[in-house]
This record gives sequence, C-alpha cells and structure tokens, in this order.
Amino acid sequence: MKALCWHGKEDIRYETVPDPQIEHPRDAIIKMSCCAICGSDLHFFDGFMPGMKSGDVVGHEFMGEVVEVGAENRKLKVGDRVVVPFTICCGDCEQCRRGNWSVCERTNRKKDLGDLTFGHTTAGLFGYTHLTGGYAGGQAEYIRVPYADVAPVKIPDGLTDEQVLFLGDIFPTGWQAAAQCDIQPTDTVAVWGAGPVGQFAIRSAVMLGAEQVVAIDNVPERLEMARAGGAITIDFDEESVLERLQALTAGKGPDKCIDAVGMEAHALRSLDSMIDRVKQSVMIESDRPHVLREMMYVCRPAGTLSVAGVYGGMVDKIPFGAVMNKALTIKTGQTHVNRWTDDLLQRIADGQIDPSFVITHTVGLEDGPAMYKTFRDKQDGCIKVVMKP
Amino acid sequence: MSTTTSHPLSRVLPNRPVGPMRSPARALGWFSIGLGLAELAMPRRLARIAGAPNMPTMTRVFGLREIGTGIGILASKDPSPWLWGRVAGDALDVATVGAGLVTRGRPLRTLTSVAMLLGIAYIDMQVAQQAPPSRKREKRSSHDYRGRSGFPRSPAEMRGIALKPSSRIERTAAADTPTSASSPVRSVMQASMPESTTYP
Repeated sequence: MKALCWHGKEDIRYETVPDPQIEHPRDAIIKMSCCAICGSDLHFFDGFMPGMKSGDVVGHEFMGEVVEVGAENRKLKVGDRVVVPFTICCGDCEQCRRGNWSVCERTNRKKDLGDLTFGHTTAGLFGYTHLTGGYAGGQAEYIRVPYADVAPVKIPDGLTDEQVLFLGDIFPTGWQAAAQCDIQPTDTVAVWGAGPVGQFAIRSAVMLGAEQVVAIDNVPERLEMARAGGAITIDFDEESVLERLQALTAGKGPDKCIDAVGMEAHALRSLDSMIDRVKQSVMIESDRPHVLREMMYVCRPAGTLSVAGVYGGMVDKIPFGAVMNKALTIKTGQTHVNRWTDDLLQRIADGQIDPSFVITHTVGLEDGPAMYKTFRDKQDGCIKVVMKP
Repeated sequence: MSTTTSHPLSRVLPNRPVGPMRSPARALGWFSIGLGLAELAMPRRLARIAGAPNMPTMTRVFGLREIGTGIGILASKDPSPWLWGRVAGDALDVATVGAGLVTRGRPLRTLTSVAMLLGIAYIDMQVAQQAPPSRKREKRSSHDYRGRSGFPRSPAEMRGIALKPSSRIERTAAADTPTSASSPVRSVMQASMPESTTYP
C-alpha cells in the first residue's frame, strides 16, 4: 500500500510500505477514506520531536471503512464507517475506566521510553514517535487499529467524512481546552493561536457560553476565520497583546487563557522568543514557551490556563511566581478524545456546528509531502489540509 | 536540447528541500561555531598555525564573534544578514592574518592562510547572495474566510448553546453573512465592569 513516511527533518515521502495485518484478536484494519495533517505533525516535520525513526508511517487524524476485524472484536464489523481517535486506549486499565483516555496505562508498547521521558507512560498514539508506542500512522491507505473495540467512533449515515473527520482529534482537543476552563457567563476567554485547534477552541468557548472570546495570531487568514467564529482578534505583529487584553477586560486580564500553539511559538519580535530560538537551535532548550509566559503574566488572578498545544520536553524561564501568587490553575494534557466524542457527534448531527468550515485544502495522499510545507509555511491561505487516497 | 547552468557551489553544497540555500547556510553556521570555539580555546596555537600575529585576546574576541554569527545563522529564519556578517568578518580576518607577513616572518604559511580565508569569503559571499530574502507577509487575507463560522446561525445566537442538551438547530441566513471585525460574540465587558476600587 501507499503511505506517507518520515525520513528526517522536512523529509516526508509518499512510498510503498507493507500492508498492515491483524496482530491481535481485538484489532481491526481500516481502509482510509479521509485523513488530515495535524499541527502537531509539524513538530516532527520540523525536527523538534524526538523518538522518530526513518520509515515511520505518520499521521493520526484519519477515518475510513472497517475491512477486517480480529476474532475477539465485538464492537466493529466489516463495512462499519469509523473515525479513529488519535489516542489508543485499552478500555480496561484504571485510567481508561476513569475516562482519562490519553493516559491509558497499557497501550504504549514502548512503555520504558515513555517512563524514561515523562516519568510515567502515556497512551499509545498513532504515527507519533516511538515515545508513544511507535504505531504506524493514519496517512496511509490502510491502518491497523489496535484495541479497535474501544476507541473508534461509529459514524451514522447522512454525515460526510469532512463533517466528522475532526472528531478524532482537533475538535475534541479544542473542546477540551475550553471545557476544562469551566467557562462562566461573564468570562473573557483568550485563545493563543488561530490554527485548526485554536479555531475549534474559539467555537467551543462560544458554545460553552463565554461572554467574549479573543483570538491571538499574526496570520491574516486565520484571524479572519477566527472573527467568523465570533472572536475579537489581536494581530501580535501589529499591537501589544498585553495592552489589548488589558483594554478588553477593563484592566483585569482574561479569566481563561488557552494555549493552542505549543512548543513552536513564532512571536519572533519578543526578546524571550528570540532567546528561546537561539537556545533551541543549540539544543539547550527543547520548546519555545513564549505563549505560556504571556498567559501566566496576563491571566486574571484565580483564572485558568488551559494548554492544548503540544510541548515535548524542557522549557526555560517560566514565571511560576505569577502562577502561584495569582492562584492560577493549569489544566493540560493530550485530549481524552472519547470523553467528548458522543456529545460532539450528536451536536454535529443536530447541525449545531459543521467542523468542515476549517478545511482549506483537499488533496490526494500523494500530494501530502508538498502539503506539509504549504501547511507549515502557512502559504496559500492554508489552515487545514485533508487528504484522500 | 536545453542547457542549464548550475552554480559551481551546487556540487559542493547540494540543495536541500527547504529554501535553496538553507542547508549551506546551516553548514556555515556550524562551521562558524566550531571555528569560534577553537579560537576561544587555543588562540596561540591557531595564530601560530595560521602565521598570524600572536594576539590571543583579539583572537578570543574574534572567536566570540564567530560563535555569535553562527548562532544567528542557525537560529534566524532569515540568515541573510548573519551571512553578510560573516563576509564582513572574513575581511577583518584577512587583514589581521595578513599582518602576520610583517610580524611572524613565515610568509608562506601566512599567504596560505590568507588564500584559504579568501576562499571561505568567496563561499560566504555566494551563499549570502543566494539566500532567499526574508519573506514579508502582506497583512491582508489572501482568501475570503469571512463566511466560515461553522455555525448554523450567527456566533452571538450560538453563545451558550452547549450549556443545554443537544437539539436540532436549523440554519438561518445570518450564518452566511460575512462577519466583520466589529461583530464578535459580545464585547460589552468594558461597559459592564465597574471601575476598579483603589484603597489608599
């Protein structure tokens, strides 16, 4: 079959790899009908995410049709149409039973690496480094789904692939980022980053009742899409984020701050960002945490910081004194996708939101390598790339 | 039959996928850091090998310059200014090492070093000239995404919809109306918040 494979920094190739096989009776094989490039895929594309090996099949946003199921899989049958969450969950461990799906204790088959890197293992993820299991990803014609009797979400007829594809990652990720803020009717919610996750965080904050939502970015197309979703926008190239947020909140600061940027912040004009970039280039700091610093500084006392953007390792010069003295709460984590999928699928079916609004480019899988660059460089108004076999 | 002329450096410094001169620039960045560290660590030995004047403090300062330039090339999205900085540094190096003709009394060694420095300067200049200019983003949306709310109604009407169990929402014409910058969900915070109280 054909798949997109990682071969090094900025080197994704469309090539032939062996077809996946059922390896465990709970597995299923999915024939991909639609997949996407995620912002977090750019972290290994740019060479900032450790644990990749040459030839790894990448991608973790995908859906398709079940073409084969293992003997013990009672949930799926051949012909089912499913969206597959990016987190692989066993459904049996204590964390899964608590609904903490993204920290499943069993599915990272390279647990030792996870323990070594993060202190404790987290769930296995599709196509996302050997720190999280080294599972083959979803930017491929066929995908083996382990524990396929747990996480995959069956899709009813009448909904298009484009409407439901993002249930596997970015819609629940934006939703969780807003939901874990415990938004109140008088809250101002500030969202750093108006990429795909930021766009869903904005709409989630609106649906969860925020009084005003503020989006921070510097890409005109993304800011325009954020405004379409109901946000006030701040272009950080044009104005001071801190001053504008203070002005919008009568000097009190936003009640809830969402980081939809993560480890590759691009605020190049700020001194701390420039220092981060130098440190990152000589490998004495792994992530660029400009957004974290800004959120900690500007957030209203007793507010909440919700971190949806991916961080991979070590960050420097974090103003933790501000966090402690202002009594801030920090919520973070890879998304517990299945905690939200039933509700969000129902809201899509009820017409409350159509997630396909975010798609700006639809291409064949063979065009994937070029689209990684287009997406990374934000060229041609690119916000979200969907690929089909 | 078409003929294409490739740049002589393209054989020595092959192109990589991102930016035609990105990889050679990175190589020069690392070279700069390496040379700088050597100048910091063993200035006397380097000066002797190069046939340059024995001025360890100045050699160390030059080392710091090399390291700074190298980090700039590696860390910057637009390495051009840093590459031109290397060219300027090359001129300084040629002048300094050239002074060894007077002070060292090893003209062959000095002239060899000067020739090598001129070669490096040529490479620096070629890479700097071919480095892509920094991309200035036009601060205007190239695509019209004003109608992409994803909602069946205006964002203001959708506010708080998820606070109750899901129910069918029919699409209205307001959803297709492009949203302007001045119509966010609600921006009455400033008007509704009381003045802050300051205690003496």
